[in-house]
Amino acid sequence: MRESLSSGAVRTFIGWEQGSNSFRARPAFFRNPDEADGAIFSPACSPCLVRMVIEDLHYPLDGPDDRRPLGIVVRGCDDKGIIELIKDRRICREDVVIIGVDCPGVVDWKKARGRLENEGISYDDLANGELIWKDRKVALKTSEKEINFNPEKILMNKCLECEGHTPRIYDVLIGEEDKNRNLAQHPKAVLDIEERTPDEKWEFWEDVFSRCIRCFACRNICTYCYCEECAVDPTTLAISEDTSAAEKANRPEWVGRDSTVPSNAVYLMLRAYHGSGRCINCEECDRACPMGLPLRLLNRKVRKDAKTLFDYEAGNRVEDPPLFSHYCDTDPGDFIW
Amino acid sequence: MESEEYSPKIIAFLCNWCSYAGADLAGTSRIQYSPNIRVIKVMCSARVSPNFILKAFLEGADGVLLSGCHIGDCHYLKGNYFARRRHAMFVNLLQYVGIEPQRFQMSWVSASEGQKFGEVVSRFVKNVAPLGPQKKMVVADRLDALIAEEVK
Amino acid sequence: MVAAARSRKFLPKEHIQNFIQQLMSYGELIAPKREEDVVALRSISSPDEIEKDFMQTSNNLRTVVEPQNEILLNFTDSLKPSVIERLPPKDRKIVLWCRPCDARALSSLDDNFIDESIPDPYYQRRRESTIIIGLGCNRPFPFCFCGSVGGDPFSTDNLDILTTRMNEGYIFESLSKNGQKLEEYLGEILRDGSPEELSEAAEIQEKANELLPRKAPNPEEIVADLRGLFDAPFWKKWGDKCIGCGICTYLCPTCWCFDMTDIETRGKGYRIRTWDSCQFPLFTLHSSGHNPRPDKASRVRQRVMHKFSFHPTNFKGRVACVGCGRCTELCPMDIDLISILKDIAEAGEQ
Repeated sequence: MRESLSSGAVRTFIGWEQGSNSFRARPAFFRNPDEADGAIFSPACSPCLVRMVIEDLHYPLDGPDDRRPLGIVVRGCDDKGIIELIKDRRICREDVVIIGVDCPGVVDWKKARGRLENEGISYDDLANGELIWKDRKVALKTSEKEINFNPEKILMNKCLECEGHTPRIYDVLIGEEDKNRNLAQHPKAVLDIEERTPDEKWEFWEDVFSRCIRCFACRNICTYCYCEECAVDPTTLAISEDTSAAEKANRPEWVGRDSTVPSNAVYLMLRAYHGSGRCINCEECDRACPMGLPLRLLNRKVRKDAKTLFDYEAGNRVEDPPLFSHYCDTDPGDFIW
Repeated sequence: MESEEYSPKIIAFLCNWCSYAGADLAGTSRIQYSPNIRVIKVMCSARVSPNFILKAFLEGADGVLLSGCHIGDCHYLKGNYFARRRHAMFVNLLQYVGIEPQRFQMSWVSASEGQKFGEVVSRFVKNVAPLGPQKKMVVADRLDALIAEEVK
Repeated sequence: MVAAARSRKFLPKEHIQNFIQQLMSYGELIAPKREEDVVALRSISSPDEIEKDFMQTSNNLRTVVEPQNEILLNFTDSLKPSVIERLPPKDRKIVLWCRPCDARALSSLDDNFIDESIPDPYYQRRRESTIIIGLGCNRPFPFCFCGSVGGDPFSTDNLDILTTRMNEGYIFESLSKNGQKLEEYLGEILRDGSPEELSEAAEIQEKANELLPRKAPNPEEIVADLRGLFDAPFWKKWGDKCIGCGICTYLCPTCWCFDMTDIETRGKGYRIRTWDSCQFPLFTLHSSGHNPRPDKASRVRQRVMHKFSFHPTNFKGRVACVGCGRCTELCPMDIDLISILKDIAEAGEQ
């Protein structure tokens, strides 16, 4: 089930390896064909590897003279991330060699950890078991038993609304191509919030914003956030050794370092806004958030609006221009006096 | 005791070529309109990014007005098209989070539309005033709440 | 462990409502509260908000003793400018159901903030006005390894009271003067523990240590090994996986790095202390433009070495890790501290 492309054509292959327990996997970088045996693909593979491509842009995985392409394993949801990076001209299609895989769904650790006792999973099972797909449903196999899970209780939210199990761009595809790509339905949770009055909405969101600790994890794991200097992070500056002190001091600060509700609101709203037409719904922000904030509700809203207002979907076609870099005569303008 | 009637503070981003000139014309023509706006001149409505609008709210603005040239008349040809697209998205996001829709408004005002400018501002203030001061997004208020009573 | 000399009361489960209400009248109550998939320590305004079934809170005591937004002073730019230095209030705070590892972590924070010559007055105030009621871990969490770093699921370090949960209620043991005072305040809500209850509790406490799911290599050996491993190749392996998000440091109970900035808004100014993280790229940026830790490998190395090398060296051998497992569990890329420690131990053998 593993690739043999690691022999020369590619400088590093980004895949997954087994993580701290059977429910977790982490990104790994394979450079020789022998290392490829450590690569896995199982329901534990929740981290989205597209982020590693962006990390490579800022912190090169290999030497600067190595111009060979990067290899990457891509699921049905990740291909949109690669398409977005190509659209934004951060990488070229030739810079990546893609192995597509058919993914029936991956687990959400936050959901899983609440289920351990109910499902009768001992810590020994957790450490030594193997998470597999059986009939496209997640199961934990141990030496003594097999536990099948109810998808709703264990899969990531995005997997429950999967748009397509296989990617559309790839060099090699493992598994059968999924011909039924459906667009994600507009999630009910977003529509629910839209129905409320402003004060009710604020009640909900103020609580969310007050719990944010501004760790910036959502931004760092995001597949579209690649700016070296983040507009909403006063600690990042794109500088060189020649940048004068005056220049550094006079940088406009849109948001302070404090994590009060208004500052958090600006941080989260602006990040969602910057993702208009670029957010691919990988839900990594949601998964990463240590405080369990429902960030998918912000990013899905932006994705829904891009579709309803401009008929635009992120990660759909490489030929699409980025959303805000062009305009249309038929853009909605009724809200303007 | 004199009770001060609440008067909203509106930050108005006006594009240099059309809206600012229109506001100027309203002034020279002695057109009366609500005196609540504080004007920030930008060269084009496209210069205004959601950063600016959110910053205005953080600093205590009760409302934000963004005004530019009519579609097709932008001095830089395309600026207001981009602004229109961008703010269509942003307006939805602002409202989704619970900021009242009346607090942010966009308008197209040309250099000759002094009358319209006055009407836009007055109409805006009339919509915003009943909502009372903007309290949701002011940083100073939240920081004040954190200040302990005791002095070192 | 259970010591013979401590007073051991019992809190029957029928009295819990009352117990919580008494606590709320004794001071500001901070307890675990459920927020969808996560449980966090928050200020409680009603007893129903408290979550009874939880493994670990996402945040820890750092939110109480070194909060995210601490206003150090404020100033105005009026005609008579004034600068007013502030101190946090002395109001009593009670943390309920704190896990022993989080309380143990306070020792590392104390090492840093409570210096004989210049103690940090903000931290000290908050620390001295907080009473901590611990809840021992009958069943440790999937990522726990407190036993490997000198801790225990029923450790009593820095706790004012330790409770042990049982079917009919909680064993309630005061461990300090403040704990004693609170126990007296609670009066009839508590009764003496019966011998059966006490021996059942002792059994739970002994078994808990065996239930720890993970073991880390011996920390003393790690401290010794690390001396020669500054340039080891495995740091890059882990650094490549890291995304520099800061979760490991923001949720670590022994981390304390902070930033001080002046915020000026609406004619008022505030000097505020907020959390900072050595994992942020510009944490070590000098004014000259030079950054001694420009890449992720050096930052990952910094975090591990701070906990297992620099802090023990500076503070009488205390390893700044309590084995709570949050850095591993919450890391979006599953960077496993125990795997890193194993890499260190292996490299140290060579």
